[in-house]
Amino acid sequence: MVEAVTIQRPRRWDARFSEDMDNAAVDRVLKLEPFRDMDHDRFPDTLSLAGIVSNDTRIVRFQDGDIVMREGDYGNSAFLVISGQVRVVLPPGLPETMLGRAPSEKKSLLQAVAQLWRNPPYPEVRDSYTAEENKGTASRIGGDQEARIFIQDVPTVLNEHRTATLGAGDMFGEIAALGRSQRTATVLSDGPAELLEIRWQGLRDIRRRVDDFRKHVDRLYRERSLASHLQATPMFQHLDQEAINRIVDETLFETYGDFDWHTQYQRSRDESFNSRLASEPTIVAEGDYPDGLLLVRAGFARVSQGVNNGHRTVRYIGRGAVFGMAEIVHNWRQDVSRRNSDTDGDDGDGAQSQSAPTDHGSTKTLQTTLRALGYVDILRVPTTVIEELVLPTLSDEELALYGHLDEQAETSDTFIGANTTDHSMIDPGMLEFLVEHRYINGTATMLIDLDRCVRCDECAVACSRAHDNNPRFNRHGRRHDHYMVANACMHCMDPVCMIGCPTGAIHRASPGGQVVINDATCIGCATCANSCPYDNIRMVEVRGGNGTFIRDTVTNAPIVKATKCDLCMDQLGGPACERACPHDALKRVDMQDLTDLGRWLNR
Amino acid sequence: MITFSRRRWRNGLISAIAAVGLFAWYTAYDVSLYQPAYLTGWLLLALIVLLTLYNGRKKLSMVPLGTAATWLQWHVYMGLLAVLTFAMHIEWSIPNGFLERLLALFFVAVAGSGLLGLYLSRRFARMLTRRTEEVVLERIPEFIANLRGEAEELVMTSAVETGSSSIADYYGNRLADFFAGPRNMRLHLQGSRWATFALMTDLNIMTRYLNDQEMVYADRLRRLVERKDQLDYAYALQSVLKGWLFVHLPATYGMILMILLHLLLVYSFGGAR
Repeated sequence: MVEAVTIQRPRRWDARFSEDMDNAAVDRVLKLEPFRDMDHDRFPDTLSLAGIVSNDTRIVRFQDGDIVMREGDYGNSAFLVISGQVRVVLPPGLPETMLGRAPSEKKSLLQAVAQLWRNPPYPEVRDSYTAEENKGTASRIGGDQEARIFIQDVPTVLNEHRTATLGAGDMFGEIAALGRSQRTATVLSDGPAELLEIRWQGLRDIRRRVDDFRKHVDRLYRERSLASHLQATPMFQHLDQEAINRIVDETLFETYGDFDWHTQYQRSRDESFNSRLASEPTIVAEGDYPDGLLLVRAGFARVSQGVNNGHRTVRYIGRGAVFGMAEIVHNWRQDVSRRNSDTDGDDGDGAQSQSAPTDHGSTKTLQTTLRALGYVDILRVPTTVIEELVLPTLSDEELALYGHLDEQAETSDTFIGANTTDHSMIDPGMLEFLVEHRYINGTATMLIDLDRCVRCDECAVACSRAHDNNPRFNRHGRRHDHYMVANACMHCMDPVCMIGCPTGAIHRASPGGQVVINDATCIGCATCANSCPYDNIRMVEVRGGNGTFIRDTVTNAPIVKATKCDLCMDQLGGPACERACPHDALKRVDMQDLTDLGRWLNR
Repeated sequence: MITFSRRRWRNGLISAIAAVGLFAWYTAYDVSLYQPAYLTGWLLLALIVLLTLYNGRKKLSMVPLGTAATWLQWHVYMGLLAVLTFAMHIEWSIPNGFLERLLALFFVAVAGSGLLGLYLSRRFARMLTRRTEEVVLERIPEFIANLRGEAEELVMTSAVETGSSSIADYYGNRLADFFAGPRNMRLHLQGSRWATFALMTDLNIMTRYLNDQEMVYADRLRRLVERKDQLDYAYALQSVLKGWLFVHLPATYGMILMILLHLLLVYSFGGAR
């Protein structure tokens, strides 16, 4: 009999944030605000505050002008100023080029056509890199051997831009770290500064156990983002400021799943469906009483329904979606109807509420289960608040729309931009496939209909022409039925590849939001390529115009750069691959636009 | 987004209306005692020029000139109109001059290969999807070479480990050529699996003379044969999917040269018009 391979179960702190956090450093941090006021007894022995500081934090030293974090980056950590001070650049912020990003310019018609004969004959040829690309910044290696980008002329920048100063004891970056959203400002070191960087896992655990810290973070989110999030949700749009403020006060924040879902996904993608489903945290279960309306603030969730011993995926929802509205509306209408019936019986005047049609069904529990796909941030608005502030203000049409309750769970929720038929247009197997492999994350996922694809590779040729004879995708990938998801950057809603880029070379372009890499500031560390759960970023050795590899002047090692699909953002007319396909076989699909996806699949 | 069937109906209807209009124009020209051959000739030339632009569009993928899919739709339906125009031009009969016949032959080759290409594009794409893994045509010889290497190693190991030459003999007699390169192209195009069936039958017959240890090798060899068969199938279909253009495009160039000659002759030696 074959002997099973055994390993010690991976644990929370198997990978420390920094090996430099020795006992002296931990003791030092624990004496700082806000740690010194925290009650150590609130933390269990297995997850002590000292353990969190030791494993989830690190002390980082910055020099004058070093960029601590950039506006628009995705971060997974917050910072606490230990000593020195930092400057927060207030809007309109620093120019894109100063943040290590390439200016997005489209080619002229002549430049576009000239690609026919001007593309180099060798792969991955680069013009010589110049300081022109990253105006006003340069890079250096910090004391911790990590690359730092610094502003060369700090006084000028400080004179030209409005800044706010943060000093010892101030914390910043916690909202973006906990909410997995983009940094809203650039922060740079003003003179030498010592900062404590706390990764999100530590922040989360502290937030759970320290009331003051939780209130602080929640208050910041309530003040800065929650109202605008609610007002972007269709059913709240018509409410007055007073009602919005009430909802803001009553809303609960919840987080499910693993922030580093991509690493876990990479490890578990070959496991069975049931074991992966079991590892997805349940947010609410089918049959639960709908005690609140759930709004997805970040991440993705699977909506499923029990079928005998298994679970069938009904749909997936992402940022901006709501869950549980149909059941709440149903129960409220039934309640109002019952009260009206009682009133009719009492005084017989026949008065009816303007928005409560007769409905004498039973109280509905949730028709479907909601599970976190990776990581999900949820806002829970209590049912009582919805019943008091929202439902009475909705028209009969809106109530009918939001309250459509299908026992077969075809549609009981709304998803911005989706309607009743969207999910049903997508074959259940396809839906499972897209959710299973997290392709739902894509805003420009390359789908190929193999029944129409004649394997002519016009797509790859066009891509290659548009990128100096270097194709930026692979016509290869996972298949479901006659569809293939090709290995091309999907320009994800949750771009985990952007987390941890030391120079900010990988960033979202503006406008458009495509995830692009600034070749000039990429240092070839492969952080993005290793993070991409879909293996869509390639590391390449670059060459000079004569075809020889460009080498490091010190180590003589070839210079390596990260490359991937940039959605032809510098080309006229959009993605060349899609435009070049003669057989309508290839489409870049926004997985959030289920209408478009459903129609394409059912052409 | 328009469905394929609706698009077919729409484009078919537009083409039918254009065909009726063309026919009416031709008739009006004819009853007016003009020579309709000049009308259809120039019209045909215009259509052919427009049709050849499609190939240029494919090269200029970086210029926003509409999608290649839209161009292909134009190409297909204008091609059908060109066939009708051609038939009217030759007055529904075989041309009598040698050069005219040669030109007509080029036209038939271009139109015929185009229609065949369209049919194959639709049919073979589905067949490939149903039966094979995705593999790039140019890499198939490399994969076959790898399989050949695996098969030869397996056969050698089998002979050494089992002390029997049964599998090695079978490989030498029946499989060495099969693994030498892409095979059975014609049969695969016909949808026949007879060649592989015959190989498998021989393998099954041979297994009667194998012991348990040899059977393990025979099973592994069988899987290699199946994988090779898959590659042959992909090679056959993909070769034709790419290959038909090697008829369509050269025939087009030849036709254009013949058209120029035809024009020269018509205007040099044509009668009253």
